[in-house]
Amino acid sequence: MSHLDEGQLTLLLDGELSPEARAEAERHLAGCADCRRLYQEVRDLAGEADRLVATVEPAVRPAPAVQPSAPRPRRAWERWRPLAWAATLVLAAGLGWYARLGHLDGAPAADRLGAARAESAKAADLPDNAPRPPEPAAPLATLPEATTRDGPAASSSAARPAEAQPAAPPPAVEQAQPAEAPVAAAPAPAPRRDAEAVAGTLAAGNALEARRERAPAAAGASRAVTTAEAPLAARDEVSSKQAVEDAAVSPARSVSLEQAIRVLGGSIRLVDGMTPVAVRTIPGRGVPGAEPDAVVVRIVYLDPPGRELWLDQQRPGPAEPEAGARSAPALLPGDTLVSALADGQRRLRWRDPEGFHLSLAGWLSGDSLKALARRVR
Amino acid sequence: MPPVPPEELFAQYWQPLLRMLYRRTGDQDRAEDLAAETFARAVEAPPDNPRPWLFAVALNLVRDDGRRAVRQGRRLQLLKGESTTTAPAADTDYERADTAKKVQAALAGLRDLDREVLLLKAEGFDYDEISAATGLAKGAIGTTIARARRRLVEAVRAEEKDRDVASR
Repeated sequence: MSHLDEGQLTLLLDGELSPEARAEAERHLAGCADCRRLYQEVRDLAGEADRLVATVEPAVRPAPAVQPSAPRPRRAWERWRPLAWAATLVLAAGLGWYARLGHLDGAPAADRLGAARAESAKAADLPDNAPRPPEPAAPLATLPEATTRDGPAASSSAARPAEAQPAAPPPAVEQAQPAEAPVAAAPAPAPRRDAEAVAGTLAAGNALEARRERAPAAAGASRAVTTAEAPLAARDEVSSKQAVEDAAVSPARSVSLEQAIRVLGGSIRLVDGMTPVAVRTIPGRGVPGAEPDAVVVRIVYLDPPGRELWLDQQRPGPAEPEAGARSAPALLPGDTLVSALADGQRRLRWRDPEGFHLSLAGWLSGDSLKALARRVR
Repeated sequence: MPPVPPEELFAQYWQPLLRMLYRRTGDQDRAEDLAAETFARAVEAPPDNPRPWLFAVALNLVRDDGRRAVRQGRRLQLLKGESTTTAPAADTDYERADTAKKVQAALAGLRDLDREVLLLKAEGFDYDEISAATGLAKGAIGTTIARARRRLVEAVRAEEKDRDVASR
C-alpha cells in the first residue's frame, strides 16, 4: 500500500473509513514510521482545532421561548364535537325559522339579520377564549349567540353541505335575500374571504388554524343560508360610510410567510425566538389604530397559557403623510403607545426605524409587551 | 420519517444552530436573526431530515448576505432613551476571550467551504451529514477537514506570534 495522505488519515481519525479500509490503513501504519508521524500530526491538529473552535461561544442570553409546548386542555366545545351533526340540524332549522320571521317582519328583521351577521363575524375574528362582546339587545339576539357558540357545529355543516343545506327550507332563503340588499349595516368585507381563509396555513399552526377557521366557516355557513351578498353598489356605499364596528370584524385571511413578506414589500418582523403558529392579512380598516388604507400582516404566536399573541405590522405607505398629518395618533420611530383593549388585552404600538407600524397585542402586561417588542426583529 | 414538531426542532437545534452561526459570522445579533429566519422557514416547510436541512439553510442565508429577511440595519430602536442591554459575553475569562477573538479572525480568513465543513464537524456532524448540508462529495470531506484544521491552527499561531513580536 502507498503512503496515506492527510485526507485518508483524517477519515481514519474521524472513524469514517469502511471496516476494510480501516484495517488496511492500520496495517500500513503499523509498518510505516512516516505515516505514523503524519497521523500523529493530523490528530494533534484536529484536537487543537476543536479546542480553538470551542472557545468561540455566543453570549448567554435568555433562552427564547417556543410555543406551543404543552397540549392544551380540551375546550368546552371540543368535548361536544361528536354531537356537531345534531347541532347542525338545529342550527339549520333555526335559521330557516329566523329567515321566515324576517319575511314576515320586513325591514326591522333585516336589521336584526345584519346585526346577527356582524355579531357572528365579530366572533369569528376573536380567539376562542376571548371574552365575548356584549350581546346585541335585539329581540332575536339569541340566534347570533347560538351561531357563535356552535362554531364547530356549523363548520361541520360547511364540510357536509349535503346534510345541512337541505334542512334549511329553500323558500325561506329566497325570501331573505331581497330584505338583505338595502341593509346599510352590512359588514364591509365580502363574505367570500371566508373561503379564502382556508388556504395557505402555516404547518406549525395547523391545529390552531383549523380551530380558527371554523368560526369564519360558521359565519359563512349562516350567510349562505340566510343571505346573499349585497350588490356591489350597496357594499361601496357601506364602505364609504366607514362603519367602525363593521370594519373591526373584517375576516382575517391566512397566508404563508412568503406571501406576507411580499405584502410587506420584502421584509418581515418576527418575535425573535418564538415560533409563529399562523400568519394572516387583514384590511387595515379592520384593525383599530392601524393605517386604514394598508394591509395589516398579523403574525400569531401563543403565550405560555396558549392564548394568542398578535404581532401586527404594516409597511409605510408610499404616499403616507408626515407624522401629524394623519388622523391616527402620530407615532414617530422610537415612540411607544400602550393601550388597554376592551376585553382585557393590551396593545403596544410603535414604529421601527424603517417606518413600519408595529403592534403587539395579547393578554399580557405592558411591561411584558415591551420586553417582547424588544425581541421583534 | 414524519417531520419533527417545530417546538421540538427548536428545543433541539436552536443552540447548536446559533453557536454555528455565531462562529460563522462573529456577530451574535446577526446569528440570532439568521437562526430565527432559519426556524421560520422550517416551520413553513417542515424538513424530513432536520439537522442537515437547518444548517444548510442557515449557511445559505449567511452566504446570501443581503437577503431581505435578515437585512442588517433594521434593528429596532424601540424605547426612547432606553438602552438595550446585552447580556455579558460568555467569554468572561479574558484569556479565553482573547483566544476566541483570534479564532474568529482565523475562521474569517478561511475559505467558505473549509470554514463550513470545520464548523459542522465541530457540531458533531458525520461526513454524510456534512455532505448533505454543504453539497460537498463525501470523498472530498476528509481532505477538506484536514486542510481547514491545519489552516485554522496555523492562522491562530501566526497571530499569536505577531502579537508577541508587536508587544516586545
